[in-house]
Parts: sequence; C-alpha cells; structure tokens
Amino acid sequence: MKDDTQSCLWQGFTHFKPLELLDKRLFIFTGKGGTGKTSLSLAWAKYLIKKRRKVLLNDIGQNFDFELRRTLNIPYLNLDLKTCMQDYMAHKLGSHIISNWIMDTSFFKSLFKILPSLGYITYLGKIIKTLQEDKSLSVVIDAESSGHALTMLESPFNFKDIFLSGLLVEDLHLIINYLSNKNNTAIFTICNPNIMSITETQELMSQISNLGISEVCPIINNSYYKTGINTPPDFLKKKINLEKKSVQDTGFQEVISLPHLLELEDVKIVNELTHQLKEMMI
Amino acid sequence: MNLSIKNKNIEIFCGTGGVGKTTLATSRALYLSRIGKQVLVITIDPSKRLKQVLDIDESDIGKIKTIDSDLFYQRKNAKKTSFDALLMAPLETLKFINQLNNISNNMQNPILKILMRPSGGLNEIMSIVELNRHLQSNKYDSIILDTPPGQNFIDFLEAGEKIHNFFDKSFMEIFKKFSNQSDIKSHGLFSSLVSSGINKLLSYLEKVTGDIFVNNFIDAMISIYKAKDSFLEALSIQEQLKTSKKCNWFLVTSIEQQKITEALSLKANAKKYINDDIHLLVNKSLTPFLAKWELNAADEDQLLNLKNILLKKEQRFKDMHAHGFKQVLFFPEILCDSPKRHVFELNKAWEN
Repeated sequence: MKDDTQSCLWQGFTHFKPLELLDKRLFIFTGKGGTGKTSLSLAWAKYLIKKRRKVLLNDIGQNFDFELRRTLNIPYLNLDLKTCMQDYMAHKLGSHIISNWIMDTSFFKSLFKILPSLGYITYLGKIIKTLQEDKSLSVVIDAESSGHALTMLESPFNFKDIFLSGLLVEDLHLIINYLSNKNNTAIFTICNPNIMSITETQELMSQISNLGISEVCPIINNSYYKTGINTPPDFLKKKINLEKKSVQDTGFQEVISLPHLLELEDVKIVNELTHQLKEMMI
Repeated sequence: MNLSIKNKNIEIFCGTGGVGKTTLATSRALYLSRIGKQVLVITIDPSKRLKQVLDIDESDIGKIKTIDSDLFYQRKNAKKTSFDALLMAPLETLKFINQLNNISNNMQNPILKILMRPSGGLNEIMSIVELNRHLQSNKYDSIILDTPPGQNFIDFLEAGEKIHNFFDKSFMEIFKKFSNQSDIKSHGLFSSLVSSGINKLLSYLEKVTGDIFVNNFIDAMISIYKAKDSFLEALSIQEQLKTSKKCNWFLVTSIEQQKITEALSLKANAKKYINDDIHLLVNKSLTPFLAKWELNAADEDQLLNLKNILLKKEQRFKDMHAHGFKQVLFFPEILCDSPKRHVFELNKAWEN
C-alpha cells in the first residue's frame, strides 16, 4: 500500500519547477522537528525580500526568536489570537460590543484553550484575509512540525464538517480554496537525509495531498553529502553513505537539496541558506 | 557518564523537535525492561515515530502492544524481555472514559468524532487521562512518556489546568442542569435554554455557525460533562509530576541541532510543573568519533575547520552542567540506518 501512495504522490512533483514557486504568495514551512524549518523560512523570506517582494513572516503563535528575525530585518505579521477572533466575530455579527462580550465569557476562553484547532483556523483565516486585502503581499509561515502542522492544515476541513452550515462555513471554504489553489500556496516539507525523517515527511506529504492540497515541495536539508568535504574522516564517510542510502531506499525525490553548513551562528546560517536558495532558483 | 538513574513511576522525555525523544524514550524502556522492570511507553505526538521504531500497525494505534526484546537484538545467551507500548489515539481514550461513566450515545456525535481524529488536536488533553488510567492499574514500575515537541509539550503540562478551567466555569453548571434531564432531546434542549443569558450567547453563536452545530455542540458538551470525574481525577497527575519521588524528567537535546537556547527556555517555561530531578540528555554526540580522528599536518584547511566546528558544537553542551541539571548525559551518534538498532545501541548507554 505504501508503494502505491508514494508512486501516485510523486507524479505530482515530477514537473515541479522551482521558479514557479515565485508566483505564489503563501509559503508554509513544515516537516520533521529540528530539520531547519525556522532557518529555512527566514532564508526564504530574506530571499523574497531580495527579489523586492513585500513579505511578512508569521509563526502561528509559536513566538520564536524575535532577536534573530530583527537582526535579519524580516518584518513580522503580528497576530494576537484573541483580537483576531474578536474582529472576526464582530465582522460576522455586525457588532464589536457583542463580539467582545462573547469572547470574554469564560466559556469561550476555555473553549479556545482546550481546542487548539480553533486557534489554527483563526490564524489561517486572518493570514489569508490579509493576503487578499493586499495583493502585493506575500506571507511566509514558519509552522509547527509534521503532526501539529497537519492538525493546522486539517482544521478548516474538520470545522467545515463540524459546522455544516452557517456563515463560518463560507469562510472555511475560503481558507480551503486558498490553501488548495496552486497559484496561491506552496507547502515546503523539510526533512534531513535519514530514514526516520524522510519517512515522517513522506507520510506528511501524502496526508497533505489527501486533503487536496497539491503544491507540496519536498526539501532535504542538512546533508553532509552536499557540504562537499573532499576527504572526510571515516565516521563522516559512513554518515554520508547512510544519507545516500536513506534517500535511495525511500525513493525520496526532493525538489531542493541543501547542505549541512559549517557555521555556528544563526545569522550566518540563514544568510548562507538565502544564498544557496538564490543559486538554486536561477 | 555518571551513576545510572533510578527509575521512577513516571519518566518524561521532552525537548524540541527531532532530537530523538522517541528513540531515547524507547531505549530507556528497553533498558528498564532488561533490568527486570515492568514498563509502558506512551507516545503523545500525532506524528507517531514510535510506530516506525516498534513496527506497530496503524490498526494497533490506541491499544497496548507488547514489544519483545527480539525486535532489537537476537543473541543466543541474551535474556528475553518485553515492555508495553501505546500510541495515543484520543478516540480510544474517549471509549474508555465512556465505559467508566456509562455513556453510550456520544460516538455518533459529529463534533466529538472529528475532534477525536488523530490530528483533531486533543492528544495532549486526552493523554493526561490515559496516563492516569495506567498509573491506577498499578501494573507498571515505570510509565515512560514521549511528549510532543516545543510549545505542544507545554500544552501537555497545562492540560490539567485547562480541564479544570473548562469544568469549573459557570457555563458548564448550566449544562449540568439540563444533562440531568436525559429525556430531553437536543432540539428541545436548545429551545428550552431560556434563562441566564446563555440562550443569547448561543443564539449569537447560531447566527455564525448554523443551528445544527449548536445542537451537536450542546450534546457534545453534555456528554463530556457527564465524564467530568474522569477528567478531573486525572488532575492528580499534575501533583505527581512535581514530586521527585514519583517522576524523572529528561530534557532531550541534540548536538546536531545546537538548540541550546530553545532547550533552556523550554525548561524555564515548564518550571512550575516539574521537579528538580531534571536530567539533560545530549543525543547524537560525535565526541567518541572526534577523539579518534587525528588530523595530519598535510590536511587541508577545510578539514581543520570542520573538526574545529564539530568540537565546538560538543563543547557547548559540555558547559551545560551549570544550568541546574541534575546530570548531563551524552548519547553517541549511532551510525546505522535501522531505528531498531539505534534503540538497542542507546539502551546500552543507560547502563553506565
């Protein structure tokens, strides 16, 4: 069964051209934990800025490293969950007073805390609305790792099934349509070149494509193979061979492949990745 | 490495993503089972790498599986052992809660059905109930918890508080009033909610969400409220997590990732929920390899630079003793591609 999902999954990617990525406006970075989602989303934002695009970064409430973002001069789309929801309800009900009252009831407060997926649709909805209001804007999302990113991507689908009718469903359809439209959205799924990481990313990709979101761009990051060490010591030779074997055994076909960088500082890592992306996109 | 760490009733593996929490937690389970302990390992993260490490089928998710040591090593004179493993499935936990509370009619509720999907977002909350269930059974010497990464780990820690707030508020009291009148059907129930402003709140909600939702929603709330005791009982877990007699904490990091600031901030955010017995596990250490790697005078600058950087990466973690960890333990990088082999090799590192 696994082979089936994989082969039909890969067909979607064979014609994938990196340059087409630039036509899109919403970029979501996810993948296995610790594979470089944050560095890569920063590098991608930086790359787009260098291309003179108007870019905002968001991390769905995870509040990562403000310092690094500031140092790199990447503007942030600052979203507060409560304000977003209040504004949304106010818009729908035609009254800020009623909306504030609803959102201040202890029931709604605890409901939001206990159902993380409500937060996800609120963030996604607001981001997509922002994109639709300003046609010159692009947004880069530094999302959570696989399992929780899937919870986020599934949330508009799940709540569409929960609500069935009503004003909300129309808006959920807007989110779903935006995510599924190749012209708008690309999802970058990042993994490192080892079996656990690749398998998790493959599963994630097939789950995303099951949702009807087709523009998924697989990236292999941190590969020693790509670092280009001329005469590596034995343990690194072994590591490089394992990397190659993992990619081969899993049949993984990445669109972008990035090296393990011999750097210790975050700013330098992001700048080098930006450079690598630029080279790759030509 | 220092003295081997004595097992406790609860052992929690936490840390940022991709550092090897699942593999290390499993290696701990294998090690404890080999020294004769009864062990259960539970994974909360919906991405479920444990499935891959332990060859667990999709159909076994949510059920306890016994894992034989044969899976990791087969040697003639080796003693065979086993441990139990559970991949969290919120739906299975709900079934268990229903059974305890004599609730039978909520499995068709569309809201609960959707929220209980593997990626429905309720893994963290339900895992507290699941943990309590297996602690109560007294079957295990140790229950090892493989927690989700980063902020989602804090969600797990806060689950108790969230459950408490959810049930403690006046809104639920109103539902309680109606849930006692079990003969009222949901549609009738909604129209009979006339007092205390709740009807007003719901009518606004209905305007946005549609009336079918509001009715399903009330039914879902009532059924969860009926199971209130199972949720609130699980709150006692929170106290046990704070006692060093009951619980070991393992913060996992990896040399490969260098996420020292993130690890320390995770520790700081978790401070009020955990006890002082927190150990730092540094995974994928290259020290054993670097120690053997001798550079020749003729070697290029690139290699000198490489070795230098790799050594610096190790050193950063060796300096972490100062940050209030009970112990800092290093686990070597395992250069093979089989996840099972990783577990086996890492299990040996717990012995020392």
